[in-house]
Formats: sequence, structure tokens, C-alpha cells
Amino acid sequence: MLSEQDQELLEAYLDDALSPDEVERVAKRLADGPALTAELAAIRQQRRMRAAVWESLAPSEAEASTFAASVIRGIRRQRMMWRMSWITRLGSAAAACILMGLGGGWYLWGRMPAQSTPPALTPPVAVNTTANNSASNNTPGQIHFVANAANELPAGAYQVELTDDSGNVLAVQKFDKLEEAQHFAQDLGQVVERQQDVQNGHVTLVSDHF
Amino acid sequence: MSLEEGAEIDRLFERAVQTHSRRLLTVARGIVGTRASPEDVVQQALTNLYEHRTRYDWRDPGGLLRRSVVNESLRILRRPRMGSVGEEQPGRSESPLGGMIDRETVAQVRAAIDRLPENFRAALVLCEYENMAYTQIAEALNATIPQVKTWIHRARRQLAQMLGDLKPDAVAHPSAKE
Repeated sequence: MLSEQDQELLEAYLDDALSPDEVERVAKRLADGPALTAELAAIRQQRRMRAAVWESLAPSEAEASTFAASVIRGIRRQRMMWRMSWITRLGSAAAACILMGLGGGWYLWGRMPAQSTPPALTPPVAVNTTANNSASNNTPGQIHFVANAANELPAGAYQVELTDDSGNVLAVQKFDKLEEAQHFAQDLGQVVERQQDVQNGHVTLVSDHF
Repeated sequence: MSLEEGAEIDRLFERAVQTHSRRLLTVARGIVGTRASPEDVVQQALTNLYEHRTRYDWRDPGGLLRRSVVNESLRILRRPRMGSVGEEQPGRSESPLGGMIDRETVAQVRAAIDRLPENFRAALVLCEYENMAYTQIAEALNATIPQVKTWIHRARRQLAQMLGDLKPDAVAHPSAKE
């Protein structure tokens, strides 16, 4: 029985793993020793059996070709899916940008300050320049505004005067806003007209009970 | 990378798969035995390579493919065991070497090889089937040359002990070294 070292040497010899000097030494020992030669033969026999095993593990050419084709099909399918995924991601990103742009624009549009149209106000007629005017030739219900020396409109600057037939101011109602003064003047004017209708007989009172 | 370069890489990759599949399946079968499907191992190894295909030179991919299959085979073996894939390994049904070694002998030797530790088995497959040098095997298995020598030697010793006096009925024509 050879030593472990000699067995390993012979294995390396058959594996072409020895240096030229080592190959020469082994060849010389083989020539000189029948035991070494017999061991080498046994090792070769075992290798042939194993070679048969390796060969039996190999698929046929047809099997290998079928396998290769399935691998290639799978890779091509994966490549197609990657491309579709890339296109989908690109499309989603573009759609998201568009939606964000639209949403942001809508949001900003909604928060823009409303275009305030100037009120269609009829500029009141400046008749008096003092606040204590008691005599006036104004038509009842006419709106006046009183400005101070600086031409500013103080609080209650819009005044509606109630006057008699002689034009004497019977009462003055002050308003801060022109619209309020206009509404009051309109109502006052309707009341004055109705009274005149009654006085002129245009309206017949059915009852004085209300 | 341009579209033309990408298409060329894809073409070279597919050609490599067609050229080397048979050999890669044999290597995978030799290493994983009945513990995993060799087809799954090779397919996974090729898929992994394809995902990073731009990194490699596909004009001579033999060593790359082999190393990838070996790594995937060993990775599979080191997972928690799920049990044997099958009782018998698939492969060619006819007797190898032109019927000069009977199928029963082949089955016994194959079973003995399957019982070797995974590193022993991997080193033996790469040495005797792929005819790789010890330095190449060391690189493929991420080991040192002395480790590879030890693994191969111990694999052969264990097989000799397991198989005892098993002899083939006949022998094939010896090679130049044999």
C-alpha cells in the first residue's frame, strides 16, 4: 500500500499538475517500481469509472438545445417586460407632471384676487361744503355729500335730507355708505310720491284703519 | 451604451447560452446531485449574468459561465435542505462510453460521488470533467491551491473507500496520460 503522499503524487501526475522535474522523477520511479505502476493503474481505472459518470450526467444535444431555447425565451420575455415597465414609468411620470401642473394651476387660479369692479356709483352731487347748511333748494331725496376742507369724506358723509315744499330741511339722515344712502333716498322718494298721490286724489283711501 | 452595442451584447449572450448549455448542465448536475434541479441552477446563474451583462466580455465567456454556475450550485447547496429533488439524476439513459461500463456501476459511482461533501464534489467535477488546472479551480471556488489539492485528493480517497473493489466490466481506450 502506497503512502498518502505517493498516492497524491500520482494523482497530480495524472492531473498534469507537476513541474517538468517532478514528472521526470515520477517517470523514473514508475520505471523502477512495480508497486507504483500497479497503483497508477488502479487510479486510472477509478478515473475511467468517474469519467463514465460525468458523461452520464451530460444531457443529450437535443435536451441541451431545448434548455438553451427556453432560457433565451425567458430572457427575451424579461427584456420586453423591462422595456414595457420603463415606458410605463415614463408615461406615469409624464401624466403625474401634467396633473400636478393642472392641479397647481387650478389652485393658484382659484386663489387669485377677485377682480373688483368698481361700484357703478353715481357720483353724488356736492352741493354743500359745510355740515350745517339748513336751507336747501334740493329736491327731496336728493343725496348730498359733505366734504371737509381737505375734501375728505368723514363718517356719515352721505346725507339724505327731508325737506318741505319750501325747501326747508325737516330732517337729515346720515350714512357712511353711498349705497345705503341711495336705498334710503329711493324709499323716501316712494313715500313722498304716494303722499302726493293721496293729496291729489289719485288714490282713494278705503279705510284709515290699518 | 448605444442600442447597437446593447443588441450585440444580447446576441453574444444568447450565442453563449446555446454553445455552453450542455456543459453547464453537466457541471451543475455533478455538483448539486439530487439536492436541486440542475436546470434551475443553470437558469438562475444565466439570469443573474444577464442582468449585469454589460459588465462582461461575451466574446469568450466559457470561464465566466462556469464560475457562475459553480457559485450558484454551491449557493443552492448551502441553503436549508428542502429534500432531494429526485431519486435519480436525469441524464442520458444509455450506457456511457459506448456501453463499456455497465449502468449499474455508473449508478453506484454516481451515488458515491453524491455523498461527497460539496466542496470535494465541486473540485472533483471541475478537475476531471472540466479538466481545469488547480489554479483555475481555486479561483472558481474562491479557495487556495493547497485547499483545492486537499479537496480533490480526499474526494478520490473517499470514493475509493466507498467503492472498494468495484470494477467495471470493461475499460475504455486509455488516453495519452492513462
